[in-house]
Amino acid sequence: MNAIDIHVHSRWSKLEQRPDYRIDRTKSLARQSGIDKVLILTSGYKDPEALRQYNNCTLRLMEEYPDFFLGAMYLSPNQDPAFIREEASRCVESGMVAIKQGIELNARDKRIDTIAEAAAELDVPILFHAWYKMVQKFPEESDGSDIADLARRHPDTRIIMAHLTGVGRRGVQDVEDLPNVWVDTCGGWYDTEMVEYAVRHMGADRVIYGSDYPGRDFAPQLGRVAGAGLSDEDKEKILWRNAALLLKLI
Amino acid sequence: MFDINVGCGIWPFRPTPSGDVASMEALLRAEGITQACAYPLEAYLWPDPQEANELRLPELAESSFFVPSAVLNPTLPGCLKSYEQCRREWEVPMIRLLPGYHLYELDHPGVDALAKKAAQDKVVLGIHLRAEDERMQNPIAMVPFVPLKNAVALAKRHPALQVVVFGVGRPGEAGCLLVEGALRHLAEQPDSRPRTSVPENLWIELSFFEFESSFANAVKVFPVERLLFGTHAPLFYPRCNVLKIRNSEASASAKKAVLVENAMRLLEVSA
Repeated sequence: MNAIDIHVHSRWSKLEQRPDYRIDRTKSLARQSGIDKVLILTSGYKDPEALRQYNNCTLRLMEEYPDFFLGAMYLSPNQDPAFIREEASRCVESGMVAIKQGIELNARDKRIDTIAEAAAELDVPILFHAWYKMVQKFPEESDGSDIADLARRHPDTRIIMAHLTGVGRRGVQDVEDLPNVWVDTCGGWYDTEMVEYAVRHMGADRVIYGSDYPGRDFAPQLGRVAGAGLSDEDKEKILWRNAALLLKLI
Repeated sequence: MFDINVGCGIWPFRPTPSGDVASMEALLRAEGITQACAYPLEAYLWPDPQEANELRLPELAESSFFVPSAVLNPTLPGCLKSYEQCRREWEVPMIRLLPGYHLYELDHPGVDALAKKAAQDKVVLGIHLRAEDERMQNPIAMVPFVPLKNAVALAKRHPALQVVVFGVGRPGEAGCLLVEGALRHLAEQPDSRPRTSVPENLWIELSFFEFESSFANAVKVFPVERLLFGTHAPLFYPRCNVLKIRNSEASASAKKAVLVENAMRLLEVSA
């Protein structure tokens, strides 16, 4: 199986503290499940220097293993817009192919706009955390309607709404008419019929495999695509072709 | 492979595949599963789960693929009568409790009465700690997770009873069984004896257990001879739990024990 995992979290935040074992393990476990490349998502820091260092760790991974690690920078929407643009340009020029946004600010917040504009100008997608939760919701956490709001404000920005099972059917309907939004397949456990629902509503071209590793596990998360009631052609799109196109790897 | 966690029937909260016995068997066989222990899905919400047993168990009991399993509500006055009917008519080797959905605690007197009877008959008692992700439940039916420690306490009160817990999700949920070390950074710890002390009559089913390298970590947390493979079909894609174990870097002997041998030993079934 060939697959690109578009949702793998970074666990390296300080250059001098390289987590050798964790990095080796990420590679070996992914490859054991037939995953050829992973998009490493850098996590958030509000302090500019700490954030730059975290992005540098991801850049280092990309340099060390260019055939395996792809990089997504983190940009803090609470930082100065000039710094956001400068950091975004620096990371893209160094080879990063996406931007990560988490729960620092809701997607409706206008302070996200600088990041959305930079993503469009630099032609990289934003992978944005989203979830419809009944419990355990974070204060600024976005749901599908928030992602849709951002996508309408920035129709030239490509957005990957994270956590298909988390946003559920309501989240799919929120974005199904917005051609600049994709969805990744992770989000908790492996509810049947969810991937098929997303494909019926959004089309197989806009659904992308992601695992949410290391909080989740490569193999069972792959199973929700491999075991779904879809054609081989659609599974191939979800497992690697859509990601390769979106990240301009082919 | 022997799948110890299969629901048969209609799930009320969303569409699920393979709602009848024949199509469920086909779904599981396509994944390489050769036998499965199944219970009626309707039992989650019907006021008397025995009506769900009566609907599904006759067909499950006739199947050579399925081992039938009944769901009972021990707070109902007729629970022990239902139990006897399930034993007499369908020879169930396992009964299951859904305390979160049927609104009782595991120290309810009806639970102990049923447990005592099951122990006498060498019938296994399954306890479903969760069936869904609590974060995305239907808001009109928010069902809390049943703590593992409550099931452990039940197993300790009834040492002659074999108890299976379904739905342990994270290593941290096993904290009540921890005897040494820590469960943080588990992946970085070398293989050694399991970190938990599990009562000899307690078994852990793994369909919800997930973290990086889930199965290899499960073997570090729990004794391998007490782990059970389950798919939680049709709520979960069965492929997910098959790959969770098959793609793991755990030993071939551990995989074989959990995929096949342990459940057959527990339920005393032959291939």
